Amino acid sequence: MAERIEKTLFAAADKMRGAMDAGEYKHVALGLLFLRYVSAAFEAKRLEFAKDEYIDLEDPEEYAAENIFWVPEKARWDMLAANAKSNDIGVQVDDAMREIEKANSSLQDALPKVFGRANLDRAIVTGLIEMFTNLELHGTKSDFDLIGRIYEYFISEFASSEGKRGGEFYTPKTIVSIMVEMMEPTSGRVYDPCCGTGGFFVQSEKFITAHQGEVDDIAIYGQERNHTTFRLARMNLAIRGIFGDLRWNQEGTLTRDAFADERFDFILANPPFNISDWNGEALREDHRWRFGTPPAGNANFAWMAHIHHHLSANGIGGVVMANGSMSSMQSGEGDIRKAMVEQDAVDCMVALPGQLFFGTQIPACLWFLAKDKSNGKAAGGKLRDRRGEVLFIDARKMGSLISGSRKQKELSDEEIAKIANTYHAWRGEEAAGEYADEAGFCASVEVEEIAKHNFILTPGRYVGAGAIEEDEEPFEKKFARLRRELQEQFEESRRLEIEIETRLGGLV
Amino acid sequence: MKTLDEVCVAIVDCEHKTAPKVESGYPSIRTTDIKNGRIDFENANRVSEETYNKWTKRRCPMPGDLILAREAPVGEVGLIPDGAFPVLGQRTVLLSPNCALVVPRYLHYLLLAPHLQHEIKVRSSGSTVHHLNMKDIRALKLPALPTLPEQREIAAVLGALDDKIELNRKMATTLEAMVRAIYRSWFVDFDPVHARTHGLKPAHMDDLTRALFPTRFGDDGLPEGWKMGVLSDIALNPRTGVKPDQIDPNTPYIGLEHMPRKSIAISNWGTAEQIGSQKSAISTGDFLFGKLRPYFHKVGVSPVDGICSTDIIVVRPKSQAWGAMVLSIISSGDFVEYTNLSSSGTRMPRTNWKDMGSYEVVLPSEPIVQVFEDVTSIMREKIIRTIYENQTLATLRDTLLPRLMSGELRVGEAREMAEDVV
Repeated sequence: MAERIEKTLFAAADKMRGAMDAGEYKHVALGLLFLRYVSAAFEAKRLEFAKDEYIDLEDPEEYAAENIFWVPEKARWDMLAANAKSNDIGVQVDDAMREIEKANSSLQDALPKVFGRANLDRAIVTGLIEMFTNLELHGTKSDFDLIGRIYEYFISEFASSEGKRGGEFYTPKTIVSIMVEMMEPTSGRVYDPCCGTGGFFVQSEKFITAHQGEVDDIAIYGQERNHTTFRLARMNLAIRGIFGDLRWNQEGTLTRDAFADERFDFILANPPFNISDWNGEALREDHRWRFGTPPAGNANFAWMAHIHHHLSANGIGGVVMANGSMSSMQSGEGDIRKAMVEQDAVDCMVALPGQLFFGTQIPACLWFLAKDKSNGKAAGGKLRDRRGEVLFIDARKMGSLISGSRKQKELSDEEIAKIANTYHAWRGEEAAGEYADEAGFCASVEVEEIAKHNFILTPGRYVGAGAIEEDEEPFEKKFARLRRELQEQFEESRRLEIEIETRLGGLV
Repeated sequence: MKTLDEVCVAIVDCEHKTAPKVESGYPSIRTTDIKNGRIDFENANRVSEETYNKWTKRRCPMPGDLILAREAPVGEVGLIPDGAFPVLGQRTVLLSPNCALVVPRYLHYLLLAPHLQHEIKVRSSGSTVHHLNMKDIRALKLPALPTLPEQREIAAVLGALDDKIELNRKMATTLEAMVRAIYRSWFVDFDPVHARTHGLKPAHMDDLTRALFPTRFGDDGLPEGWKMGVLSDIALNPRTGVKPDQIDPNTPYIGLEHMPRKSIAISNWGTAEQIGSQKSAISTGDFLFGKLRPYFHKVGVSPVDGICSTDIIVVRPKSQAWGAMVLSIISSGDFVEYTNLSSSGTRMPRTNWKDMGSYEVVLPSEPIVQVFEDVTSIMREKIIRTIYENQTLATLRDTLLPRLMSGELRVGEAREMAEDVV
């Protein structure tokens, strides 16, 4: 039911987009949604204050004390809604954004001011305002969940319609969930060095809420290089009421680390895969490369070294990586991987199924790094000494196509729980029960064994029989699939034959 | 009358350098990847995510956009299908149609129509290398456009033909994959024998066929009763040279350029008209192996009686029963790899029949080989049929296209129906 609202809204919003580029349009739609949120939050608080005769309803400080953004009169939604059809509505929205930024220093430069541009069709702004005005709100906490969900759904759908580019600011929910469930960030400092729109933070907060924890027990830190994405992230967190220290600079995390002296308990990241213009040559001597200097032509291992460097004594880092990182031998990457394994930096490897990302088939894997595998804490308990061992999980056979999508897969909650539980059991969390290898799915492997495989970390190699060869489908399954495809093609063929006959018959 | 620029939201030029290729990633569409109005993704170079980002900075080519070749050959144009996210190769241009004015598929056919192709060619001539300027592309004059419902109807007529052509291609691919899967399971992985040694029933197999498979492995590791041999035990290389003056100019001719990579379906061929040197004779059903740069993996079945280039080795099974077996072997990745390693010459490596013939193969018992041939020869037959059907469909499309675009032919009933709805 709830999902229907998000879907309907997005479908309507997308229709209004017309010929406008999805990448630009998302700032327009999400910016207005944010405006709707701050106004709603403000009005709800104002109503509450109105019951108290000692509170000055027009005093911004009263609102700030309650973590509610102050919304100046000109920027209030009712005002904009009333003027939705006026010719200069775009300029009015821009002004509203500026007013809100001026009144709330924490939002400085976070909001888009693109509505008054000559090339933006006024009808789009009017249409979106009318649509969001019709969004039924009740002045309660559940409103913000709803707007948060809509915001997230919009981001994911925009990521989808931007195709491959969407991957830059949005990590598919399935992947975020696996990592959060495995790592259990319930308290401490959480960091994402390339945070996109902040998906990991939102999911971490949800995880805490789901486990009856206190959201205030975590502190959030993030850096993002793309400035417009950085804005989306700040709005995303603001809607969720999450306070985080998000930073932006032109050079990006690897070159100008905004948190150079900080250490974190949980690092979650989905860095861009295989980038070569990362300034690697200039950074050759950087102190972060304790496992060896990453090749200038590929930043994969630079990201991993950066993340490991920033882990606190008990810290765990989860990184989404291109599959090549598990086996590449070029430019010294094999040696770096060897050093990481030998120095016990790698805790667990997960091979993911393909088709989890939008618009690309690219298969990816997850690396879990630990600062100190001799102990650690999770979910209140102490972890066992895992030195000299690595857990391999092969999840390639998991997942099914998202309903309505022919190209994108997701994992079910049960599948995600199975992966997370395997990791929890392996690292000695009592609640997760006893760990055991499962042929074709998981294996706990000693470093000597990994050395025999030349430090290649592809889980398929270690999980043993039951696993299929790389990308090789067993005959039984393959044959059944091909037969099904052929039947469908024959049917489609007959349908097309009839259509062709009919269409040719219609020519005069 | 509108110009191309006026019916597009954007016309964007390519990057003027070659995108660095990688093993897998996003397709980069070069001018040679656009043929007969279709974008061929299978043979397209692949680029990395990073290159994708750089190459699409100006605009991301999206499904529904068109890619036009500015040079070599000028005027080829293809429509980006659903789910594809390519980058522009050199000398191509991205056209993003304005859907409020023109139906993308209609615009695609319009640009393929002879009078517009003529306009494009005229504008591109005048220099040694035929080349189309961005200015000329933008200014390309389009004939008066019919209403959007009419455009949709016309696009649907031609589109149905193209959809069937595309589906036939897919069907041929599925059939080929099926033959390959059976071959691999039976003769490489020995699945049925493994199953029988454990007293299990092999998958997807009737009782009669099952009984033909051994129940255990011999000391040599092969299924009991099977032996090792070489390719020349079961196949030969007929060399029937044909001199140019013996050839009727209408004889079908297959060159390496006609053979697709990694597909046995040879869907087009030329004629002997321009032939000046000696060729080999081929018959329908002969297996053809591209011996020049064998890593291109060009192995197929001849759909015609005719002649082929001497850079193609003709392979014929020694008896009809071994047909499917021979084809499966010579079109396998392992075999192609073998010929590649044993070929000589650095810049233009070539393999030869002597090396090919000495490739080691497993020789199962004859009855199993016969069953394999019986099961799969009908699929081979169907693949060749779809090739013929596609030629008919393409001819029909090319005949209708100019007439529908000029209005000489109307989508009568269909259009009236559409008008009723509007």
